[in-house]
Amino acid sequence: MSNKIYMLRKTPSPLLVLAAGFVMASSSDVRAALAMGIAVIVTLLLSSIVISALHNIIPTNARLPIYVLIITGFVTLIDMLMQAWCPVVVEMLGVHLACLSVSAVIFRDADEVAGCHGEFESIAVSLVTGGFLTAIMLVCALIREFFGNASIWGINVGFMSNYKISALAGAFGGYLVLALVLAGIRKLGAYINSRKENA
Amino acid sequence: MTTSEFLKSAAIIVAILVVFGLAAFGLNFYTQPLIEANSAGAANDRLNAVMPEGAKGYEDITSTLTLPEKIHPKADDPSSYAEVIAVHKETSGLGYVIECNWGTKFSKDVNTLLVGISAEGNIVNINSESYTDSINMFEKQSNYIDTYVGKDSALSDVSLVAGVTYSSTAFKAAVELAFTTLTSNNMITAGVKSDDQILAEFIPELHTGLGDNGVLKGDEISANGNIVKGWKSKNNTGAAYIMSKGEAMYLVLVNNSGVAAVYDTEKNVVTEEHNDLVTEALASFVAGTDYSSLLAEKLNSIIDNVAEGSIRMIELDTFNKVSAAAEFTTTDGNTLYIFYSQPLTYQNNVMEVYTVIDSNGAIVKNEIGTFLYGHGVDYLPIYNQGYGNLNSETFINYENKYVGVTEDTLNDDLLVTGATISSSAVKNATADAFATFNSIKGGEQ
Repeated sequence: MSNKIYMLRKTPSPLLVLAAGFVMASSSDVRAALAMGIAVIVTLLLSSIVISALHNIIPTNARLPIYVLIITGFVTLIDMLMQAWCPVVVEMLGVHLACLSVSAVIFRDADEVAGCHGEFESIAVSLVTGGFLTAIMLVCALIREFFGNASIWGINVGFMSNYKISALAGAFGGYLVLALVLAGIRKLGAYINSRKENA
Repeated sequence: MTTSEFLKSAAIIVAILVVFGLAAFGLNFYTQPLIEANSAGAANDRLNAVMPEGAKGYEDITSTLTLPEKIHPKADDPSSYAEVIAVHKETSGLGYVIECNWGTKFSKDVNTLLVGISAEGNIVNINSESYTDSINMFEKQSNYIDTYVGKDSALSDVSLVAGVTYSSTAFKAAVELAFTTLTSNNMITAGVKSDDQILAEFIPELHTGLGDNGVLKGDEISANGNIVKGWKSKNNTGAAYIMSKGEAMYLVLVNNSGVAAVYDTEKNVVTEEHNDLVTEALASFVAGTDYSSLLAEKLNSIIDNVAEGSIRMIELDTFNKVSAAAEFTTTDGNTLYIFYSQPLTYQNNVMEVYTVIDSNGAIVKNEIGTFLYGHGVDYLPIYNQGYGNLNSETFINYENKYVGVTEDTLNDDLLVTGATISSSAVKNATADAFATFNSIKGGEQ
């Protein structure tokens, strides 16, 4: 497996499905998407470093509770900092920020990469995964906030106010936009693969 | 799992718990004050919106004050009200935020507003937090709240929103009540009304053709010469001018006959002393509308026995909703009077009322040319379709209820449920017809 493919583990699409819950919840506003993206990157990064440092001494049978404990610890600390520094965003994210503790994406990275490999590899994978999710959340948020709320970064876009589709700002719109973005990613992936095969 | 693995796992879990517990404990010292400050800030956001930048915090001082009683600002709408419900003092002394509730018969729910008043007694900002009236005055006049900003308790040059006078009257009353709360508790100094403001407030009372239930209604005339401000009636009943002479200001009223009266700021009639102002006001007014043909035509259609050539137009010396009057005799020798009034009704639409009064002061006929109910539509031709509480049959009965009515017996029994604005307008016009009749009869004596 090439290094690049390993980083993404050929799974951008499944990754999105695993992260659908918090991508949907945090993509109604660009500010919320960016804050959630940073929270995901920092949680992935710190938990990966700690888990990869401890993976040799963690008994196999106790991996799950210990990983969850470490991830929850970091999410709690990040939540406290965000409540202090960006309360508006915490209000927007609501319970979904705390739910990062049990996110399948973070647990998957902890289990598959940090639990088996060294710190540098874990850091690289965490950055790629976190960066990918952040980019997707920002794209979804841009679409949903502009067309659903007629605003960007909370600032009203006057000419859109009469044309906004409010449903896009809700949960249904979140999943709809996510599905469209997912379809776009798969199409792009298929196109890149076909070009490689032709080459 | 072996015993050693179990103990090892337990030790790791306990160690992780201790590390994160200590980290959270330490971090809490740093974040807790910030989180508390954020929570307090969120609660104050709505108050900060009407205070200058730099507001530190607020103290609820409602219980320490004597609040003014709830008021009902529109005489013809008992459901209209304004009341103060809370007063907040900015802790660094920037000013006060007063929370008011208000409403009208057009409100679907309680309307609320916040008025921010500086320590010097000027409005910093107003935030209409809830507005449920059927017509949105803030859409009718998008800068309406801006007209209040910076004003003291005199609220000079703050007018009502044309066509939404019920809502804007109650809204303005709520703001006035906010000021009353602070001035009556000696927290700010009351603003002083300017002479032109005092004179403008006389107009609805002294010239009811430009007033509707105490509210000035007219089309503004631009300043010119000694005319500082002016309003031409919407119903051809005359005009009103605020005029300056030296350092003094006067109110000059003109009716549709081109007769003028001058008032000073004490509401004294000073016409004879200021004929120059009368001349200038009449020059601006140009001329009233001639209704002699209209009255002659109308009389012949509603009174069977008008003696030919007996109709004589009367010069009005009253200032009200009557824009023309005539004296005539019937073929059996009785002298009667007809008064043509054009009261304003729903959304400033103009109605027409022809009141015929005999020499004893009793109504012979009250003919309503247009009866507006609802959204400015003349429903008279379609009452037989059952609109409102008046159909074609009861409408005739409604007009007939006025026959025999005198000034003393004119009362609220003549109002129609479901069409109160229009039927009040008819009643008020009739009252003005009686006032004009009395003036004519007084002049004859």
